[in-house]
Amino acid sequence: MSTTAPVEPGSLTCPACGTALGPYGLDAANEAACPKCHVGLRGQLFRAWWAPPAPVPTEKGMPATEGDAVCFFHPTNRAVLPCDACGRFLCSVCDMPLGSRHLCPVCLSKGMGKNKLAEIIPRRFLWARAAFLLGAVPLCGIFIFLWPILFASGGMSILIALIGWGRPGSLVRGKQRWAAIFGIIFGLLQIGVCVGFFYFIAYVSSHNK
Amino acid sequence: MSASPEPTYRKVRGGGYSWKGHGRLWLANDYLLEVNSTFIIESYRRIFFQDVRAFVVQRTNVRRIWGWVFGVTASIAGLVAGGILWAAAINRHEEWHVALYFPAGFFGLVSLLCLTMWIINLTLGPSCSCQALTPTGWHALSAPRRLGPANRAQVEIAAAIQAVQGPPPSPAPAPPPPAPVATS
Repeated sequence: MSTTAPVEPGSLTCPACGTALGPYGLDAANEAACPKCHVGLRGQLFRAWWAPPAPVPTEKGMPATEGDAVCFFHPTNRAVLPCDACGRFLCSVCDMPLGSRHLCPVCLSKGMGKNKLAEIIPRRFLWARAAFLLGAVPLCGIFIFLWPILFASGGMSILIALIGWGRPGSLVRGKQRWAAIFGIIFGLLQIGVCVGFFYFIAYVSSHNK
Repeated sequence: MSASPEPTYRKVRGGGYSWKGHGRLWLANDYLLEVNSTFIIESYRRIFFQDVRAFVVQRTNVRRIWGWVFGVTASIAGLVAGGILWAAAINRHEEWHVALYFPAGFFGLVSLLCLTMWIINLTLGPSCSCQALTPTGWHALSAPRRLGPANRAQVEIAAAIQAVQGPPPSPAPAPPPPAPVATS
C-alpha cells in the first residue's frame, strides 16, 4: 500500500481511459491495474497533488500604503518581489513566474523575442547537423551518378556550416562543432569529386577525338 | 535584458521514437525538458517540477504489436525466399534458374532484417509510456518507451520533483480501535 495520504476518491483518473482510480491511486513500488481498462500503472503522487499552487492573481494587486515599496509598472500597487532579470520591483499582477524564476513582462517579452531565455525556447534548427547531413548523404554513392549536383550540395554544406558557426546550437548538446567541421570537409570532398569527374570527362573526350 | 546563462541539463536514461522523431528527457534544476529531435530540428517541451502532481509509467502493447509485425514479416519473407530457392534447385538444369537467386536473396535479406528487429524488440523489454499529471491534465512523454529505463527514470525524476516540492504528506494516523464494551 502507498505510504502517502489517501487520494480523494474519484479525483485521480487513469491516464489511458479516464476512469477514477482507488483511494490510494498509485503505488511507486508495485504495478496496479486500472479497474476498467486493466492497463498496468506504476507511479506516485507528489505534494502538489494535495497542495495545489496558489491561484494566480488576475485582478488588481495589493494597494500600497505609506512606506511600502511599489511596483515599477503600477505605482499604486505594493511590490511583492523583484524581477530576477532586471531587479525592478513587481506587484502580483506583473509577476511572471517561470519555474523558480520571477520575471517582469518586459524581460519576458524581450527573452521571447530574441530566444535569450532558455526556459521558453520552443525549438532550434541545428545548423551544424544540417551541414553534416548535406555533406555526408550525397557522398554515400546514391548521388554519384548525379555528380553535377555534388558541386551545389557541397557548396551548400560549406555555406550552412559557416552560417551556423556562431549561431546557438542544441539546447542540451551544445554547438556540436564537430558536425560543422565534418560538413565542411565533406562539402570540399563533394566539390573535389565533382571537379574530378569534370576533368575525367574532359580527358576522355579529348583522347577519343 | 542580459542573456541568461543556459542551464545545465542532465540526461535521463532511455529514449524513444515517435512520429515526432527521437525523444529523450533531460533534467534541469527546476524542470523536466522533453527533447524531440529529427536530427536537424530539436523541439522542446518543459514540465516544471512545481507543477507535477503525479508521474506514471503505463504499460503499452507496442512491443507485442511490433513483435507480431516483425515476426510475421520475417516468416513470410523467409518462406518466399525458401520457396524461390527450392524452385531454383529443382530447375537447376535450366539456364534461367540463376535469375531466381536475386529475388531469393532479396527476400532472405528482408527476412534476416525483420528477424534481427524482432530479436532487438524482444530483448529491449516490455514497452510503456510515461505520463506526467499537471494542473492542465495528463501529458504523455515521448521517452522512455521501455519499462526498465522508465522505472529508473521514474526514481530519478521523482527525486528531482521532491527536491523542489518537498515530501508528500504522510497518511493520517489510524483512529484508535473502539474500546470494548463492558458487559455485566
